Amino acid sequence: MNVAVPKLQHHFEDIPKQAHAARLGMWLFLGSEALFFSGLFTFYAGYRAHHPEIFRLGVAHNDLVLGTVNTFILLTGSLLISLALWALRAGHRTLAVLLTACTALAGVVYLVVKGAEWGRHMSEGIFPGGRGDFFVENPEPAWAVFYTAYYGITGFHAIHVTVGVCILGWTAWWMHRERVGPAAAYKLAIVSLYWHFVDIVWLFLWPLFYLLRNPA
Amino acid sequence: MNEERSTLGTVLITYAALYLLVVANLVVALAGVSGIWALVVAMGIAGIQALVVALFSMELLRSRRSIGVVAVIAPLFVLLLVSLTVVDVYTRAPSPLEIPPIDRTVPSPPPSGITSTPSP
Amino acid sequence: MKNYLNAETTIWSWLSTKDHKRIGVMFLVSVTLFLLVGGIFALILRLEHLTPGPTIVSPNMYNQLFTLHGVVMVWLFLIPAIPAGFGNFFLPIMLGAKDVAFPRLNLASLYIFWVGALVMIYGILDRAADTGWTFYPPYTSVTYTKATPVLLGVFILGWSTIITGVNFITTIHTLRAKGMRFMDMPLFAWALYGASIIQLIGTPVLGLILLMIVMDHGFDWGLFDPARGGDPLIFQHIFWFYSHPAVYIMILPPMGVVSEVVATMAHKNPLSYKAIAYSTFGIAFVGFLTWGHHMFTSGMSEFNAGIFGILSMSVAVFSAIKVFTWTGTLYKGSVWIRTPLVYVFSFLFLFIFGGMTGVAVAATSLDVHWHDTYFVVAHFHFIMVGASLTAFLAALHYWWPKITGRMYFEGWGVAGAILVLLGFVGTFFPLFLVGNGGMPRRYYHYSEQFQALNVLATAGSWVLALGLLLILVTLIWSLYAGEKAPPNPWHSRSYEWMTPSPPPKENFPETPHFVRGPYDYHLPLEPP
Repeated sequence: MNVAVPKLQHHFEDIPKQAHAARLGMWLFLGSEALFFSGLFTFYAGYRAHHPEIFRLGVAHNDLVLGTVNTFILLTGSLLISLALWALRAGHRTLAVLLTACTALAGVVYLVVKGAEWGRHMSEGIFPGGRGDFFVENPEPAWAVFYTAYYGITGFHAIHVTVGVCILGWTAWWMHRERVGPAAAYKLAIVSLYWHFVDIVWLFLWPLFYLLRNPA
Repeated sequence: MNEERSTLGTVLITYAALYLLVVANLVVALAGVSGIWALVVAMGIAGIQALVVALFSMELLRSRRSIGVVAVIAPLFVLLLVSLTVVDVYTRAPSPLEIPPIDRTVPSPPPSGITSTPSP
Repeated sequence: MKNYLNAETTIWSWLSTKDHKRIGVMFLVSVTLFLLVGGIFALILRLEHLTPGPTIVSPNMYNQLFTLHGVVMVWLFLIPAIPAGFGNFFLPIMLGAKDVAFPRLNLASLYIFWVGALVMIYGILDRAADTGWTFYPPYTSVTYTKATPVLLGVFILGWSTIITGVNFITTIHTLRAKGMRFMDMPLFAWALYGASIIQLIGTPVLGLILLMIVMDHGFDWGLFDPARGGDPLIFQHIFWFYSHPAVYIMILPPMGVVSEVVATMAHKNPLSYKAIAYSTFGIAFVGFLTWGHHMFTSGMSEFNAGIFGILSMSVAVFSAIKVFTWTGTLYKGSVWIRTPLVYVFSFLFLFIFGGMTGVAVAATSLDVHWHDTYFVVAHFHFIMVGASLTAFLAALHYWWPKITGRMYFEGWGVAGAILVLLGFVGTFFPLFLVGNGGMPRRYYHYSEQFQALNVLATAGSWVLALGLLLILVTLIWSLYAGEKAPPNPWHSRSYEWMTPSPPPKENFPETPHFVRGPYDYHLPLEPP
């Protein structure tokens, strides 16, 4: 079987060191991404502290079904990429390529559902910046910041999902084209780290925007 | 290192647990839990899920200690920013516009610290 | 002799290089250029303040100038200068490695830096932002000026910083020479590690908040508009969560330089290696606990003000540990006074001044008087210029022989250092006085009673500018007429001196085996 071996770069002493460096580098990057989202969580938390009731109403107004469906979709994507990694390490390259492509597909489905949600909000007259008929009917100032925060936070998360979809698609193609074998599985592993991170962020966003809706 | 085979069983059990936790979170919300407990439970379940994903899917358990340090430190700083900002909002004095207007039909009480009324 | 400079000589070989030394040199040239740009803005500001009323620029232009002076100096000079310049060049060499962990990402960080700078320059040339470098809403959301390209430029620059941070930390963890434990690394590596941690934790938060204010300014999202439920303090919390630790990004690498120069020029082991190493991490982490001290007067709760005031003072403990350690290292050392050490003496004097005034403004009850006056401006310039820039100049002279293969001219070096010191004190000491007297910052007009000291400060700025110009000219001249540098002109034990000046492309002629620590001055000199 024609299987490619990863190329050892000149400044690393061996592949395991090179693989560990790649892993550490990705974790450091993800740590920084966590801090990127911390600003967004601060928005939500700070403004919910300011306007608890309207935020609660806003969350209750969001579509719990669509939000939960998206949670299952992303979690399934996370499962698929974990299976892809197992498959590649076990030597089943074609299965790994397929599973990786399916993970990307899950991301696309997530984006479609998210887009539908946004479309539904917009058809109700809810736009960022407190624009739209909804805010005429609901003139309390806090509604504007709730929905702008909603668009901003889910929007930034969606950008990360989109980037993930592109990287996963590219990775699937690369594994196929380069006939990647188990020795290079660490490269798929670091891509999967990114995808799992994006999933973790959503696992926090889902309760904040869909579950914390009940009146006292 | 950790490029040895991962077991299929571990993957499947991990995700079964994660799906169950999603359902649990949903059930708690549908049951009408509200207020601070809703927040605690929701974030708590999300936190457990994050831990499971990090330890198993992201293979933190099989990674070197330097990676573990990163995984511990980042969330701490997230908490730092969020918590001190929220504490600020909660501990601010009420805005002047929200203080009820002074009722001028009754004599106002003397300022605190003054024990005798000044002579007219 | 073949070295990293003449290994290949085409422009493309430079633009496509993965050699960390060439990338470091290109960063150094870039940041020096931006130091000049930011400096020119400052000179114009000081000219404007020769008189209390209008002098040479309009009020709007004045606002733009102080904004751009801050933005350029912070993000195009102070943040990248020592890490991306000297750090890139020396970190792998100091660890005995052939390169950083991710050489292609390193090159990308340089290009991203240039792209960010170009986007920012576009904004500067076309109705530059007038918001102050802190970009506070509500004004930034509604300003008629081109805040967006300046903001996006900074956002892009942030990526360069993050990549550098990832690269350095990974390099330190995975590419140390065989047998080199963490406690065997040169202290400059520790400084870069600490700064990288801050870069990774803080910069993304800045990126986020800048994007938010871009949405506000460009798309009127009203995120901080009280009429739409917003709160300007939310911006300030998120902004300062980065921007306070950012000042530690700007001071930790200079402190690393000071550690190196002090040990070498005193020909003595650091008084306590561990004190320097651990205090570096102390600053890196505790620095994140202090951001609210920028918000004492903006409407933050008194409870938070109390917390942040106490935490802010605690950071000084770590700085003090370092100052005492450096002083103790010099004490009874075989001190060799050369230009780098002259800069270090300046650093110690000015950093203590700047640091102690920092503890003073950390006291909430005092800061309510000093906030937004020139007292604060003087405080942070004592650190940014008096410490950071001074250490940058120390590094430039200290490592000039290694980077260029030429010695600088010692007489001119000392002259430049003295001019910089005198010019700096002349510029900024008066500002403490006018600030304490109540002169507000960022005001176009000022009260007549402050004029005399402002004129003095402006004169000081010309001396400072003259000093910097002298340094630039004589350093460039030394490239042609300076004597060829030996491998170890300072007789240092640190590892970068164990390779020729300039180093070969692979850093060391053979794979290095470090049998001694980098500060083993207590052991006899081994045969060359």
